[in-house]
Amino acid sequence: MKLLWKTFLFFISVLSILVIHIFVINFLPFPFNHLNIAFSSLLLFFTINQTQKIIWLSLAVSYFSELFNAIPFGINIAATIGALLIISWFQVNIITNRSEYMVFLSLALGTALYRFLFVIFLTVSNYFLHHESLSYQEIAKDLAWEVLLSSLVLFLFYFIITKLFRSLRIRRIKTEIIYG
Amino acid sequence: MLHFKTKNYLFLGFIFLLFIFVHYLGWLNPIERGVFALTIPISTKINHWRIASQDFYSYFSNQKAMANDYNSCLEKNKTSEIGEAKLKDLEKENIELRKQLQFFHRHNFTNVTADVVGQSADSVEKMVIINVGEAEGIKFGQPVIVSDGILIGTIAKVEKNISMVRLINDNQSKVGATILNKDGSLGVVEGGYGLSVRMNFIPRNETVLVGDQIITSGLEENIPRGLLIGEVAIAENEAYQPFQQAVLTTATDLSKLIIVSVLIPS
Repeated sequence: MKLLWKTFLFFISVLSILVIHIFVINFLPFPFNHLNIAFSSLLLFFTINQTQKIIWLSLAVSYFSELFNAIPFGINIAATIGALLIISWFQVNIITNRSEYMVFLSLALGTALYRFLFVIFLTVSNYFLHHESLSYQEIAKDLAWEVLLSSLVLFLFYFIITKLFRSLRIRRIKTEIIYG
Repeated sequence: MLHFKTKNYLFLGFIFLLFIFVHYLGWLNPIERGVFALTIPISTKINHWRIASQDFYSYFSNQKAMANDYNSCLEKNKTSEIGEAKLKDLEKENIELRKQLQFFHRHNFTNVTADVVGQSADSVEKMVIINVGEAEGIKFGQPVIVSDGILIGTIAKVEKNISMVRLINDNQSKVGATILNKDGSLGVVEGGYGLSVRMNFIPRNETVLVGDQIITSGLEENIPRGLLIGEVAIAENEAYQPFQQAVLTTATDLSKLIIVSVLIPS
């Protein structure tokens, strides 16, 4: 029963993220339709709570969002998972500060990384499939809007939510390991 | 903190490859159709709201026009019935369909009419989703038109019951075109320039004037000659460039598509 409930919650989460993402892309005018809710929300969940569950959730969300675009299958999934794993490494080794601003930096860096990986995979795929080359100037503009808006909106959302619910704040490391 | 071991990475990689494999084998089709069945009605609704709200945005962008429209709206409201809005919508659809039907009579094409149900989930692509697919005979590369033969894009992806249309302003869209000037200049209409569309590779010695209409050249396999693309807004003939360029105004607003037709070669 518990497993069934968990599976149900998992699919509800996937569907909710997908529907909000579709709503933003379809409904909001330019440049607000560049908000990447699917990836940014996954990145935010991952920053707050770095567990394997979020990786599986992102796998499902990116798989279903692949169905709503015409790029070769697998590029979005690979870029999403790749960006989340790299940002996880960054958070452990480089952005070690656990302040609110770290969340903003993580979101901006993660979104840029995601789009960077996405464009690399798409370029490679276009090369092998003999498709038209991409307009990088246009993509750079889209990327700038996406990174700016996604990180800003999700950060503000996080900021407001953490003021209301203290339990969602990123916990500071309580134990220290002394080397040497 | 994420504790990922080598075996976890391998497992994740395996699942990723498995996803790709079973997707291309079509074993995930029931799940994918289920997701489409759940999300397409929502996406359709959102798309209709968006088109209505775009009118709302432009309504408030000009105060004088807003005041005029508001006054005329008040006048209209005195005599209008509750169902007027619905009737107008149907009338609009009817005009659109009649125009498309006249076009097909003249050009002897078979067509499949479709509703626009959403947009691509990725902001890199300028695409719309339509509610017809393989089951209706849609194939990759077929042209998609609105109104009296206005080209809006080509089919980029086909599923069983839905398809994706790559709009002419997408950065990967390229369509062979000709200008209706005295030289009948040939060139390629390309997207990917923000909100505008350009025609490139126009020979420098040919005269291109603002207002000249641009139609499809018919030199591509699936796209017939004579579909209207737009008209020249700016002509750029630089001395150091081997070809001249033209910035186009598209013949229809690509952000307000409701009903489209896919042309199928007969």
